[in-house]
Amino acid sequence: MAPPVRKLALTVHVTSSVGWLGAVAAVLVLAVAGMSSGDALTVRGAYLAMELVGWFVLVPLALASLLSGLVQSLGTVWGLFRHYWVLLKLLITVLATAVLLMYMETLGVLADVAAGPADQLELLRTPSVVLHASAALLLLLVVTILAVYKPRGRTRYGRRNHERTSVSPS
Amino acid sequence: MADPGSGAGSETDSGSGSGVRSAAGMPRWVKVSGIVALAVALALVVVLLTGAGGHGPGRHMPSGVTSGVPSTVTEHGEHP
Repeated sequence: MAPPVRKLALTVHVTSSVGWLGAVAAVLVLAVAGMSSGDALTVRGAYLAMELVGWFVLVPLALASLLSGLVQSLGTVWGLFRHYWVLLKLLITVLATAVLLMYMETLGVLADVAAGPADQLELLRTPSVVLHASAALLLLLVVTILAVYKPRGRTRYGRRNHERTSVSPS
Repeated sequence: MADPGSGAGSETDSGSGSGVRSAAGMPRWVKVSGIVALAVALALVVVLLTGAGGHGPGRHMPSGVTSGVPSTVTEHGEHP
């Protein structure tokens, strides 16, 4: 990739990845409020907001982070399977995105309950969203740490590739 | 966040920094991460198999589940 394009791709990747992390933190706060508040308006608002944030912030940012990460890896010397830290980042991002997409159905059901009759609100006393958001936050922090520290270590494929290019400079 | 300006091309994998291994083999940090991931996955499987944490979209909807939090939700203007 030409330097200006590379910088643009990197900007998109960093923005979407860090934005995803921040959005998950916001959802975690809403989830705690939705689970523990005694005020019906707060509970309803929290779950309705979580579904909106899910579809219009979390999902787009997760997909943008995954796609821009792929572009960033394949378009630079890092590659996708050459370094353990890149591979681990990819696995965590794919896992987190897949779980998010599946969990959106649950968020939809919870939002429907939140919009329903008051006597159903007790069903929203579930720690499910808090647990999922906490796990996501932890995973995304690990991804961020990997991206910043870039711990050394080439995969077998990366070592072979490195040796081949070192032996035959062309 | 793979920034090629950070030295990917110059990496030798032969240093002795934290978690660095020789060229032949897996770095220690990868092994430790793998063990931690395996332990977490195993714990999740145990939790799911014992039914302690019901999973799957259909099962996220509790049937009258309470979780130790206040059990009364009141609309504004109502008294619990």
